Amino acid sequence: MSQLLEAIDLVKRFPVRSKGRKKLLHAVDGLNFHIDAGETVGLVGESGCGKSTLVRLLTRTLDSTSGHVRFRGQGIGLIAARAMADHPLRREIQMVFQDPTDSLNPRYTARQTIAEAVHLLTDTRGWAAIDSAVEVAAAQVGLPPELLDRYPHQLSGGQKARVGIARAIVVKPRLLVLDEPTAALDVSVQAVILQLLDRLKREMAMSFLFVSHDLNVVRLLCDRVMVMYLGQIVESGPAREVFARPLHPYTRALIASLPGGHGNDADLLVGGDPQSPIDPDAHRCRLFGRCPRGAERCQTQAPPLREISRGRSAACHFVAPTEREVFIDAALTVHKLHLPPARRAALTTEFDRVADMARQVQSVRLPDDTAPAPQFRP
Amino acid sequence: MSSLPTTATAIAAAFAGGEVSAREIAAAALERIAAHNPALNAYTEVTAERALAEADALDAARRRGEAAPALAAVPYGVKNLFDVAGMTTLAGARLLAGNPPAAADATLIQRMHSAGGLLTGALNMDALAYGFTTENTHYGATRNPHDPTRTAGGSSGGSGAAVAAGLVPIALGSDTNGSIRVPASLCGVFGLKPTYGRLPRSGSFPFVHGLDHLGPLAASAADLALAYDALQGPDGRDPACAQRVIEPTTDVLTRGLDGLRVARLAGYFDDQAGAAARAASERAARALGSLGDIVLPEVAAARAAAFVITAAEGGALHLQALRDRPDDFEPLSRERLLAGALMPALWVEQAQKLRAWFRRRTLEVFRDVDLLIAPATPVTATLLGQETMVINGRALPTRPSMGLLTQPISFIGLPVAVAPLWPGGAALPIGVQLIAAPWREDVCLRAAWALQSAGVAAVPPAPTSINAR
Amino acid sequence: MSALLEIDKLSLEFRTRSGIVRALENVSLQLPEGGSLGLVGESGSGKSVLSFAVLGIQDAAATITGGTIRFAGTDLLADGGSAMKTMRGRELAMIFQNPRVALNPIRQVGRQIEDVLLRHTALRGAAARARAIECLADVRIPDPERRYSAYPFELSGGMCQRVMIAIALACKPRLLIADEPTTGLDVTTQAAIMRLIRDLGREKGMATLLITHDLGLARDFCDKLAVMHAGHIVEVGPTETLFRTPAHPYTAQLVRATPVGQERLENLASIPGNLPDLRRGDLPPCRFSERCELRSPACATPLPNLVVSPGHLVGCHHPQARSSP
Repeated sequence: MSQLLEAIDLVKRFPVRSKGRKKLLHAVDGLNFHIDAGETVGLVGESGCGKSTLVRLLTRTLDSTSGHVRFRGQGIGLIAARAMADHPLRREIQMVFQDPTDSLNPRYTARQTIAEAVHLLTDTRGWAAIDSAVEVAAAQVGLPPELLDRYPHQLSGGQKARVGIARAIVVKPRLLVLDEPTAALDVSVQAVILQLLDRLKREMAMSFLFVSHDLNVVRLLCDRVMVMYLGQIVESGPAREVFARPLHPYTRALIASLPGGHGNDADLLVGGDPQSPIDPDAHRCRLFGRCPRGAERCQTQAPPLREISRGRSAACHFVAPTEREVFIDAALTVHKLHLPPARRAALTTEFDRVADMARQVQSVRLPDDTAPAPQFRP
Repeated sequence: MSSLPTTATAIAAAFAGGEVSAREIAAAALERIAAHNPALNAYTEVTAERALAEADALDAARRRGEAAPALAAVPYGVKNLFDVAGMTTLAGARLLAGNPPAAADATLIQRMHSAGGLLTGALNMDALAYGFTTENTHYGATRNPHDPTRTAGGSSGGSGAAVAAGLVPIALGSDTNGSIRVPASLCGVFGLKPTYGRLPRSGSFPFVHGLDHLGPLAASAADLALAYDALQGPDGRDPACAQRVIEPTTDVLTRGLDGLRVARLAGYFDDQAGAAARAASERAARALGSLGDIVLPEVAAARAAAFVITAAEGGALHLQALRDRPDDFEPLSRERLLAGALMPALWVEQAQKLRAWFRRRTLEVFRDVDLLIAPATPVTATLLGQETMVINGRALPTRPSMGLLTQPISFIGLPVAVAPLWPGGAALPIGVQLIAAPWREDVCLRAAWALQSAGVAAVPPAPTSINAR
Repeated sequence: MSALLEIDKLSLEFRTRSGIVRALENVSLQLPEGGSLGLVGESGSGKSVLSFAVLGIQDAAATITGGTIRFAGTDLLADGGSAMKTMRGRELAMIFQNPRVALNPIRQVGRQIEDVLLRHTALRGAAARARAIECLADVRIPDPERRYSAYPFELSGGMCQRVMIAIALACKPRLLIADEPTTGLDVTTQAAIMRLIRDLGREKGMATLLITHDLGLARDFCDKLAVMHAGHIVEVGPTETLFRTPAHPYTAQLVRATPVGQERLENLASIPGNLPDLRRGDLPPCRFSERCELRSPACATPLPNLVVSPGHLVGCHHPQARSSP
C-alpha cells in the first residue's frame, strides 16, 4: 500500500500563561505516523491527549509549530490554515464530526447542507448537477430522498449522522477524518452507522482516521490503531492485536477500564493526576505517576516509541508485558507455586524491577571474550 | 562508674593494666543495654550470663597471671545471623525461629572469644539480610539513636545502633550489598567491609555466597582495626576464605597517608548522591589530599548486575521455604526473593560477565591511585516507613535504593572502610566509603584513622536522647 | 426478605401542550437491601423519569396516575410525598452525570458536604467539618483536609464526581441512585468511579440503582438488570442471565448491538425503527411490537408477565428460550 498521509515530527505548542510566566502547552509533541491508501487507522486517547489538536493539524484548520505533514507526497504542513480553504487538496481530506446536532446548520435542510459542500469544494456547477450529486450521496449513506428537505430538528440522531457523512463524502475525499462519529448515538443506531462507514470506505476507496475513546469500536472498525497520551503516541499496531495483547501500560489501562469485563484491575491506572502538558519534563515518561509499573528509570529516561515486533510499536521501557506474564506464570507452575492475586501483582512489580536491572546489564557492550565470574576471586 | 573506659582500645588497656575488672565492664555494658535497648530495639536477645561468665573467666585468668589478649574485656554484640552456641540463629526471619539452637559459635565469634571479647547478645537485622532499613515486620524496626523516628539503616541495623548508642564499642555485621556500610553511615559509626574472602563466614547464615562479607562496626578507627586484626586468619570451613596470613593493621594505622595516592569517585557516585552525601565525599577528599576525580565505567550497570545476582541467589536459597511457608517471610522482601528465583538463568550469566569485566576495569584504576573516596549512602537516615526518597529531584523507592552507592563496590569484593561525617554540623551523620585495592584493608583503615584524627570524621559521645534516659 | 425499594405498577404521565406523554406504564421493580440493580435502556426509554419519580423530583406537568413506591416499607407517595421529602438526601441519595453542574460553583466542596450534614444530622461545627473531611477521605480523595477548601473548578471531572458521591453518602443512605454517573468522563476515570461506587456499596451495605445506557457498564457492576423500552420494563433478571439468555427480543438485540465481546463488525446488530411517540392515543400493549421481527396478532392483546426462571421476568408474548449467538 502506498502512503496517503505522513506526519513527520509533528509538533503543536500553544503559548499559555501560568503564574504570570509564559509557558508552552505541548498539545502534540513530535508525532510520526502514516496512513496508507485504503487504510482505517484508529486514534484512541482520552480528553486532553491532543487528538483533537492533531485532527485540526491534519485537516489544516490549525498551523503546526514544527514538523511536516505530507499528503500524497506533497507537503501540506506549510500551507497556512487560512490559505487551505481555497486549496485544491482541501476537498481530499474531509471530516465527520462528533455531534450531528451541533455540526449541522439548523437553518439548512439536509439537501442544502450537502449541496453547500459540493458548491464550495468542487467544480460542479448548475442546480441540476449539484442536486444529482446530492441525491447520489444521500443514496450512498442510506438517507431516503424524502428526508432531504427536512431540517435537522426534524431528523433522528441516526439520520443526522447520515447527513453529516453525506456532506463529507459527496466531494469524494481520499481521507475521511471521523471525530467520535457515533459517540452521541444510541447503541441501537451505532452499529448501522459503523457498518455504513465500513461499506463506504471500501466502495469509495477512502482512508479513514477514526478518532475515538472507545477501543471496542476501534477494534471492530479499524485496521490499525494509534494510542495517544499527553501529546504523544504511546502505542501503535494492528487493532485486533493491540486489543488482544496490549504492550503499553496505558493501553492496558484503557482496556482494563472498558466496561464489559476485559483485563484486570492490576492494569488500571494508579492514583495521582496526569502530568501537566505545560512544559513537561522531556526526560520523564509522560505516564509516570499514574503507571502501575513506574520504575526509577521512567523518571530519568523518557521511553521513545520503538518497534517491538513487526508492525507493533510502543513507548515503554517495560514492553512485552504479556510475554513476561506468560513467563512468570510458567515459572510459577514449574515451581508448583500458587499465589493469591495481591502477591501475584507484587511479584510482577518485583520481576519488572529485576528485568529492568537485567536490561541495564544487557545495555553494556562487553568484549566478546569476557568470561563470566562464577568462581569469583578478588 | 563514669570513669570506666568506653572504647575497645581503652577497655583492653585498662584491663591489661589492672585498672578495671572484666566483670565491672560487662555489668556496665549490660546495664546500658537494659536501660536503652527498649527504645532502640537493637538487641533481639541479650546474653547476660554468657558475658558475665566470659568476664569472670578473664578476671580469673588475670589473677593467674596470664597475659591479657588484644580485646580483653571488650563487650560486643553480633548481628543475629551469627551462630551463637545454644541459641537459634534467626537471621532476622521468623522463618528460622523454629530451628534448633546452634551447636557451636560461628568462627568469628570463636575468634572474638579467644581475643577476650564479651558477647552481650544478638542484634536485629532485616529479614534474611535482604533490606537496607532494619524495618523488620516480625521483630520490629531498630531505631536510629540520633533520631528515633528514623531508621538505623540495614541490614546490620542493630549493630549500627548498638555502637552508635554507646551500648558496646564493637559489633559484628554482614555486608552483601552494603549491609555494614549503610548502617555505619546512617548511625554515624566506623565500619569495615574487608576484601571478599578475607574473613571466614563459617557458622553464619548465608545470603549470596559470592557476595557475602562479614566485618566489624566500631566506635573509633582504632577499635575497628583492633577488632579486624582479631578476626583475621584462614579457615578451612569457608571455601571462599583465602589462605592468607594475618596482616595486622593496628601497627600501621597511625602512619597517616604519606605516599598514598587518593582520588574521589565522581560520575555515578555524584549523580546518585544527595547534597549531604556529596558534601561529605568532597570534605573527605579535601582532608585526605585527593588528587582529583575518577569516573568508573558502567557503574549503574554494575549495581544492576549486583541486584540481579543477589535476587537470583537469594531466591534460589529460599525457594523451598517460599513454597512451603510463605507467610513466615518478611512481606517487604518476599516477592523480590521470589522474582529472583524465577528469573531466567541468562540474566545471571550476563550479570556475572559484567562483574568480571567491571572488576578488571576498576582494578586498572589502582595502578594510579591507592584509595578511592565515595559517599556510603545517597542520603542521611530516612524516616521509618518512608517509601520513597528524593535524590537530586528523582523519587526512588527507599528500601532498595539506600544501597545504590555501596553495591557496585562490594560487587567486586574491594575492601571498604566507612568513616562517619557530620557535614556542616548536621544532626544526622553520613558516611564516606574509603575504598582500596584487594587485600589492602590497611589502606582503608589508615584513611579512616586520618579522617578521625583530623577531626573530619567522628563518633560523638552517645546521643543525648539516649543518655538522658 | 422484603425489598428495600419496591415499585409496584407505577404509571406516570406528562401533560404537555401537544398531548399526554405516557412516560411510565405499569412499572414494577424490587431492589433488596444492599443489592445493585442496573436500569438500562436507550435515550427516551424512561429510565431517568423513573429515578426522578422515586426521589420525588419532577416537574409540575408530571402526574403519577397509578401504582406505589415503597421504601423500607414506607409508602413514599402517601400524604403528597411527605415521606419522600424526609428520606431524600438522608436515606435516599442520588448522583447525576455532569457533577460540575450539580455542584455549587462558588462554595468550597467541603462546605457543600457540611450543608447536607447540617440539614440531616445533629452534627455541628468542628464535628461536621471533621465528618465532611472523613467523607472526602471515604471517596479516596487524596489529601482531604486540603481538598475540603477547594472549589469545583479547581478539581478534575473525576474528582468532582467523587465529591458528588461524598455528598450523596454523607448521611449514610441505604439507597444510592446513580444516573449515568460516568457519562462524559474518560474511560480510565469511569473505571475508577464505578469501582468506587461498587466498593463503597459493599463497605456500607448500601443498595445501588445504576441508570445507564451502557450495557457493558451495567454488566460489570450490577447483580440484576431491568431493561426499559418506551416507558415499560420489558425484562428483569440476573445480569449474566440477561446477557446469556435474553428472553425479550429487544434485550437480545440490545446485547447484540453492544460492541463488547463482538468479533466482527457485521455481527453487530442494529435495531430498526424508532421509539414510538408516547403521545399517541393508540399505543399498542407492547410498545416494541412495531419494531419487532416476532410480532404476531397476539401482541395486540394485554402483555403477559412471564417468569422465565426464578427472578427472571419478561413482558412478551414471544419470549426467546435461548438467545441467538
